[in-house]
Amino acid sequence: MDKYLYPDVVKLTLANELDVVLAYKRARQLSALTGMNLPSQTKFATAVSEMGRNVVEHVGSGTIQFSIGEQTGRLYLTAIITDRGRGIPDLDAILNVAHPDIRTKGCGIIHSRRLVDLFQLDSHPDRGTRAQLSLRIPVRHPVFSKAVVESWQEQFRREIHVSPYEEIKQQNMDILDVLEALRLKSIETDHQLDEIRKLNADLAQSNGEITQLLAERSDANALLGKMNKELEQFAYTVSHDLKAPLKNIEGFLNLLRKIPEVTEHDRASLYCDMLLEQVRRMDKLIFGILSYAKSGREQVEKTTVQMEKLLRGVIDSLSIPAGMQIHLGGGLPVLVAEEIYLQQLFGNLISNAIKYHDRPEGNITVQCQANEGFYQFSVADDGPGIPAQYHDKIFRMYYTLNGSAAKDSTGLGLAIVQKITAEKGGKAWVESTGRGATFYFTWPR
Amino acid sequence: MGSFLLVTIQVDLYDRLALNLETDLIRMVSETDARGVLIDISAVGLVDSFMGRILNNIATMSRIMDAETVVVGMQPAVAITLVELGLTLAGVHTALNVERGMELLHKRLGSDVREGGRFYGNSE
Repeated sequence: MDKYLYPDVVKLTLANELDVVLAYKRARQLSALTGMNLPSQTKFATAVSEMGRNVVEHVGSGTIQFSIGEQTGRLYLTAIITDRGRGIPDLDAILNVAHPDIRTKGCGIIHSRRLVDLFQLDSHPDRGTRAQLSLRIPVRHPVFSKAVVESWQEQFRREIHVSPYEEIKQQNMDILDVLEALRLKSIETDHQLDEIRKLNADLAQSNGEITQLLAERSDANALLGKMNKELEQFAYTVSHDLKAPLKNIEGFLNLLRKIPEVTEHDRASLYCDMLLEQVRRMDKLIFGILSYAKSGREQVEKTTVQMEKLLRGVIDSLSIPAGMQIHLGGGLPVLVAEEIYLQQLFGNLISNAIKYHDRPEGNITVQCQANEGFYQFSVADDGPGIPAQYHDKIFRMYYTLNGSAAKDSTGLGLAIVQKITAEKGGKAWVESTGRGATFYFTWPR
Repeated sequence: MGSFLLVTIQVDLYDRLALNLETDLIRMVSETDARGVLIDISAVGLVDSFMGRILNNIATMSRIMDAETVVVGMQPAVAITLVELGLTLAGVHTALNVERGMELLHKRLGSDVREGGRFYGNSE
């Protein structure tokens, strides 16, 4: 071409067979617009189709550019088809075939060459292939101008959506949009599912906590019920036991009032002694009740307690009858514990052993055994022993076995022992067969 | 006796569609026991070597399956192009329109054949 009047009328990419369809459609439209008759339009479109298909089939992709050019005073409609392939290897052989069959390879090039007025083909292994197909525009062609060419371009742009290819492309775009929306929706759903799972986990945890709280509440209720029962029993026995010395005091006071003269001093003195005895008894009872109420519940500071020393102190504080021997076993430990509780425990157990002994002479032995996690203390006597059916009952409040020996008893000693050991996580019990009884309790190490 | 298959091509045939036409048609010939295939290309504005090859293939395969192929309704411009190319559609009979094509088939096969039809492509 000497020069191009309109070098870039339409440019298309050739990437698939549908692009080839679009290319030959454009070729037909442009040849019609430039005034060619129907056979020429068909020839040009066919030539474009042949070369375009070669590009898609052998290279994969390329471009086609339509232009209007001038050579030796004549106007031509030109299609330049380029690709970046490796060239056509046996081009000379292909071009020299005189009568190509449609089954022959490369017949498209020969066909294309036959259909156009100017045919130029450059093929190079590095630069790819460039085919230039030009068909003469009739002498009596419509007027061409920049505006006219622009109006064609506008027409192509408007019409682009009615071509099947563009339609399919558009539908593909729509489908891709829908897929993208679905993908986003799916992500959102996943997110919501995660949230639901998290909420479920939270809920499960809350449920667990509530169940635990309910269990704790039910335990607390049970404990409360037990304590209420104990309290009821306690109130009953306390009122009953406190009444007894009061009745006695009332009786003695009435007797004192009836004494006519002061001369009967001896009798008055006797009544006063008895009154004092009853008052002491009440005092002891009240002290016992207070000890029981406080036992194991008070926040007492722990100190280092040498058990042997503590036991000697307890023994010194008790009035031991002359015939009673108290033996301390070896290996008594040093504890870090609430000293007052240990004093209460041993005080009660040793005084019980003395109090309920049925002979003037006897032996009491205190021992300790170190076990895994706890110490086991024992206070053994050689007294009358305790029948098996009372082994549990004696630990109840106000339960005393021997009426005569119990004259000085509050019936609270063993209840206190049991309560303190229970509060410390241990237990207290008695073992006795025949003569002698051994009281045990455990204490945490 | 078998029937005729009438195929009307009403869209631009791109390669895959053309190859589908080829296989569909051969399958239909087999299924319907057709003795004749009429391919109406009156809406086709272009027959290049690829399209020519497709028509040729259809005719060759039909003949193997004992059916005749007639291409009808070729536009004059298409015919001119084919002439300029020197393309002969070997083994493919041609007729001006469907009626003439039917006549041709009847003449070649005798008159006792049923007629059936099948359209290819959309109805635009």
